[in-house]
Amino acid sequence: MERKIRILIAKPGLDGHDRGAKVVARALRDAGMEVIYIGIRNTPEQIVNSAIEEDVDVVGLSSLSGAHMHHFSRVMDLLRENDAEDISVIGGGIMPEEDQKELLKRGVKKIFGPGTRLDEIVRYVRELGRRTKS
Amino acid sequence: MTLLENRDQGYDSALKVIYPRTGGAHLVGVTGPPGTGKSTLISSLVTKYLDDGCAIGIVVVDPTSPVTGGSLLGDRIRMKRLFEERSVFIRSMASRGHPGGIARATRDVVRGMEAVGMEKIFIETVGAGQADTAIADVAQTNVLVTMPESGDTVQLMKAGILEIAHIFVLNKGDLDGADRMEILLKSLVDSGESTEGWTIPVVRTVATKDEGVDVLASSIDAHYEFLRDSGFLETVKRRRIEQEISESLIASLHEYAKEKMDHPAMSATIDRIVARREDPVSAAKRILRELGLQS
Ligand SMILES: Nc1nc2c(ncn2[C@@H]2O[C@H](COP(=O)(O)OP(=O)(O)OP(=O)(O)O)[C@@H](O)[C@H]2O)c(=O)[nH]1
Ligand SMILES: [Mg+2]
Repeated sequence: MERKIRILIAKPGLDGHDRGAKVVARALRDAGMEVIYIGIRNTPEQIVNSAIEEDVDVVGLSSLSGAHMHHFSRVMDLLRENDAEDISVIGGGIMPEEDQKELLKRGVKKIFGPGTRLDEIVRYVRELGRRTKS
Repeated sequence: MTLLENRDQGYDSALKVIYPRTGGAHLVGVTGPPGTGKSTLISSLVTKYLDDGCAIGIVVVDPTSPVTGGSLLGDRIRMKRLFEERSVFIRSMASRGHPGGIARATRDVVRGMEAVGMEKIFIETVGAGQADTAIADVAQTNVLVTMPESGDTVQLMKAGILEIAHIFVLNKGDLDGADRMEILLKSLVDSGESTEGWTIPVVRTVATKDEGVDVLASSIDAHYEFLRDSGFLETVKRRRIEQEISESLIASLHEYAKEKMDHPAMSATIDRIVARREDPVSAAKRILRELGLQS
């Protein structure tokens, strides 16, 4: 049996809308993955603890507020501190080009902008999952 | 933990290593119809137990879609207040389509938690039908969570969940109809036989406000004490080990049978049977004799 890809979807920060994150979560589930959804207003500590306990392959962070730099970077740092760098991090949301570049430099695997097709995200996560499994 | 859940390469030796450190925790099953507040209740209960200095494991099981094979595991979101607790470990599991398999995988994840020192382990399952009694087999104390106006509850009672429950919880005690439901539950308990000397308590809670949770925790502990003092705990443990050996044996034999059928020599046997010079049952017995399993 092919191994299941496990992914944690979370929304750090204080903004309260998670429609986008939910749509992505459902699309990934429909693609046969096990999606652990922890909703909005998560601290980076909560996200990283959850990711480690659940032993996920991928963490998907969604952010629409301006605080993405801080939150995303903190998640990367915490993963490193906990020897959990094998967990891949991807992001989604609206952010300036230079922020995206900076985050990719800090180890975020990919940032999906608004309007990205769902099947593109699914394909990417599947590929990521396959790579970390082997 | 993932290795235990998936039965990956190395499973056997991992089990051998952790096994001596397992078997000591109190395993509490929490089941009931969808949306009755199981996750919220566990979260509240665990907060209570943490005050007593307990290390707690939580395993939450959600169904896998039979169509896509995927699942959305949404119980953890109700337990946010526990995310940063060092002595709590939460693990979400998808049922992956096998009623028996989920019981097996759950049992192994529970063992992983025992091995890292968890003293109480809560196992949440959706009680939607018969498949779920299999999961209840893993726990020692089974808590059934219902809520007011839940028609599902009546269905569940019919499906036999009643027999496996040791504690009834009427959650959402703040909603309309709670009084009526409480009376219904109490009458159910009174009319049923108290199994093995344990009387099923009915506990009314409001999980979102941490109300009634102290009483529930006391009932859970009281049941554990009852199991220990009466010797049932020992009996249950022995019965489950028996069951597990038997399952494992059947799985191995199943594997062996498959290999045997694929073996080229089998076609000669089949030829013989097609020609009516032997019958299938005798052939199977002959194979067992070759294995030394039948005299
Ligand atoms: N009014 C009221 N609402 C509650 C109470 N307990 C839980 N809820 C709400 O009920 C909803 C479902 O709660 P969950 O804890 O997710 O229920 P569950 O049984 O784990 O649900 P599933 O895992 O999906 O079957 C949430 O919106 C809770 O806030 C309660 O005591 N009173
Ligand atoms: Mg739940």
